[in-house]
Amino acid sequence: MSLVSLKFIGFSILTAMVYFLVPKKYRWMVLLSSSILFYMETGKRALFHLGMASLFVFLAGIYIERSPVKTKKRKFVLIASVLLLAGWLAAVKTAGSKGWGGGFLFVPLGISYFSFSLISYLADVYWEKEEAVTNFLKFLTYVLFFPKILQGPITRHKDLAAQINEGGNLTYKNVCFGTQRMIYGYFKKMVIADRAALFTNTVFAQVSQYSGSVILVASFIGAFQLYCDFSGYMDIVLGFTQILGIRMDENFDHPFFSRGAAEFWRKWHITLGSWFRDYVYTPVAMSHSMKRLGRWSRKNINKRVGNSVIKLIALSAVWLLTGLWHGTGWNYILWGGYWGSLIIFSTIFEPEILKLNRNLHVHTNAASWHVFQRCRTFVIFSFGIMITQVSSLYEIKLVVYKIVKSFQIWNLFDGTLYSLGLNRVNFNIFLVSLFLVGMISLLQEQGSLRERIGGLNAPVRWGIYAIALSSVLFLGIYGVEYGSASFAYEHF
Amino acid sequence: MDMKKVKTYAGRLFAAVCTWLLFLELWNVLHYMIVDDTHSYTRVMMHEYYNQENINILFSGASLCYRSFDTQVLDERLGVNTFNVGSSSQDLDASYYLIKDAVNRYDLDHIYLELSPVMALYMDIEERDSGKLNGTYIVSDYMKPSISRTAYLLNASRPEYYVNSFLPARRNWEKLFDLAYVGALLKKKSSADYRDYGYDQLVYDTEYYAGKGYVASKVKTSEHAFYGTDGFTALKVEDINEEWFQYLYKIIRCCKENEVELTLVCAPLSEYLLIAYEKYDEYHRMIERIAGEEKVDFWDFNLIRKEYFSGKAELYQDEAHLNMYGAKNFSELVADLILGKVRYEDICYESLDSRFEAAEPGLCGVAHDLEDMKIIANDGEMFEYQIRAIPDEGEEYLIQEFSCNTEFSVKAGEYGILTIVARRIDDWSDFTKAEICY
Repeated sequence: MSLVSLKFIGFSILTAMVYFLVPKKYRWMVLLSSSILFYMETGKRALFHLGMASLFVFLAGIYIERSPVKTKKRKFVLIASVLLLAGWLAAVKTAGSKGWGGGFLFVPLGISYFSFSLISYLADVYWEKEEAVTNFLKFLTYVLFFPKILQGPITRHKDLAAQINEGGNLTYKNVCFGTQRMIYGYFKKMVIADRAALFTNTVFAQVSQYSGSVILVASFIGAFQLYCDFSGYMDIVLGFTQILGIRMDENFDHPFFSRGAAEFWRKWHITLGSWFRDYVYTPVAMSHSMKRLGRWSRKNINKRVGNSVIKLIALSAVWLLTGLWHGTGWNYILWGGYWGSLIIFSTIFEPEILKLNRNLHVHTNAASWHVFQRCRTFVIFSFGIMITQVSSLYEIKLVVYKIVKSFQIWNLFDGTLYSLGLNRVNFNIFLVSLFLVGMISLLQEQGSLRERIGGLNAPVRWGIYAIALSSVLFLGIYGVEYGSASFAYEHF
Repeated sequence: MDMKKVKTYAGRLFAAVCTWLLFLELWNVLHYMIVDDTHSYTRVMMHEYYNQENINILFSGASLCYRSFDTQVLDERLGVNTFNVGSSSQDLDASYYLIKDAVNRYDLDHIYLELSPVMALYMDIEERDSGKLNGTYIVSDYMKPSISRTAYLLNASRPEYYVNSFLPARRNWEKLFDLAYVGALLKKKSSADYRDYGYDQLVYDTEYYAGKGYVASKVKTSEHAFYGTDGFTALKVEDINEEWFQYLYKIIRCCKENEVELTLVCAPLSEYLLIAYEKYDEYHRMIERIAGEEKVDFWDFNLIRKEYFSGKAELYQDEAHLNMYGAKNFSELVADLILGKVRYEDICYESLDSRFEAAEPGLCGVAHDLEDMKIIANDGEMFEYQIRAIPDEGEEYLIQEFSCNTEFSVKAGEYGILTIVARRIDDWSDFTKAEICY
């Protein structure tokens, strides 16, 4: 069931109505039923696989909890379970990308998200950060919770399950703010992202046909497209859960305002980043072998190398896995390597970079420097988009060649841009909408915009709501004329 | 509940209603700015429909309906108020919801439902795309907001079309950014004729809106010169979608429940089309069976005797639709039937075969499918044909000398005039010559 469909809107409204009509202590059952119905749309086989994986983790969690601490059996069950889940994820994703199918080798929708949720649950039980669940149906409600199953956020069990089990409260503010956020999400997805897709799909389908300037514009547009697509999805699901009175983790914090690669990844897909920090980076960095290696390096080489080598190994593991999480194709591994190198370089050589800035008399507190840093981060991100969009190493080389040797700047002015899936009207709508989202982001940086809208005079407020909803319906790229595009992160 | 809470809830409800009204008004403004309905017959027709004091007799159906039943002639002859709610490509679901509205709104005596075989074969709700939905929208856009209209739109298409159905401005959204278009449209809409639902903008060189739903065409088809696309495949009753039957039964039930008499009608098609359909009799028998089972009258004017309605080509604007002269003759005949001056059994044959047996053999026209052509004639096997083409660009050329062959082709993308001489095999002195534009 696509989130951009009347079916989903009807389904959400119905779910919310039934949810609040049912006594609080039974509300989780409504969520379980609707989540099963929602996921059934992707196929009964997927639901069966997901159910079996959940049952396995549920039992493993109980076993881990009941086993004495620091026993080998306990550790073995954890490692075996994590390897099984990760292996399953890797196997089906590889099978998916290679076109192998059948049996267990098919990709259940949302597997990257729910497998990470299951792993984090097991790890938290093992580390005694939370207790194992004893009610399987309640556990299944957490795993299947339909707003997050397809694209996250990768919410931890201990954060979400308590809210689901307790049942949310119906408040005017939640309904109002949740609805506003959903409309804003639909605006980002349908007016901007799907409009941008008309352009980027045209260009990236045949990069050899276009000049460097067109490819560069496509990669910039692609960056905004991905942001509006993914954050739009988040706004829709977080808006909906807010209506239900359930708070899920934020996944974005205005990433395009970031001044560096590391900061960007703290603001983009936050729950994935924090998952890797908690379940990969920290365990790797804090492992006995790493500690030993660090001590050895500090003693035999120097203190800085001793500290850096741990970061280098832990970050390399994180970025290799991040790349693989997005896809098993070579371009995703390259993409992980690209980001990993940038972050490792900027982390390890931070003192040198600061020294260089001082020597060049760069005023690092000046607004102009901040603007430059933000633009630089955006360009870095856009280049990353290019890596994931093209289909071969040859095409990457071709893209770089075209940007350097066959830029053809006049293509930006001679109307070429209007012939690539977006005519002049659509292109202008895209730019104006993007500007609007930028302004909203700026205002959000200064405090809650929704609170501010809530404080406006009633007629102005109503006018804003009516215009916002109308603009989605009027300007959105949806319906039979276009065919609605699926969400980009749904495929990961 | 204390007063404070009541006030809070009332305030929130009021806010929601206001937002909703603002939303609708915004879409009304957008509609006014970008939807060009200045030449819409149904806009004026529906306005007139809602402003009748009472309607005694209602005609419903597709283009065959609004081009066949001349309400002016019928009003004069019958001395009651008749109204034609026919519209282009009106499927039976539209007819049903219009009839449902009419029986509630007016004290109706009789409804005549036109059942064209073209529309019977055409109706398929699942297959309705933006183009086919125009037949829905030209009616629904001007229906007053009601539960019935909402039900109609929800049933008329797949959900992905709902926004287009309920918010018509969305269908034309890109026009908002064409300022020249918006300016010109606003100017057209500011005319008194548009505002007052006048007819000035509904008058064309070849046809005009004549009032109360009837559209009169001045175009006359030349004898033997019909040129249409039907003729390559026979009409198959089994191809008619189940939905068509469901809505037909719904209409019958609706009329019975509201004690309004219903007559099923097939307006007269040209001889050309009836021959092209090959199996029209099966369609006739099917409706006859339903009418018999449901105890409603069925008038099939395709079985009409020549002395009551000549069916000459000059009475048609094309192979399916009557022109204003044909509609006048036909409406006079319908009035005679309603007044009881003639009886249906006396003026019609029992089957199409009987009609054609009594008719003169002869050439009707040519069916075309791109460059493939086929001669359509009554008792065509009695003739041999000589065919010439006179292209708009190029020299005249002979396609075939006298031969019994009826299928031929012209060059792709070529336009011009076909000259066909049909000569009786048994009597060479009896021949017909036709000139047909292709």
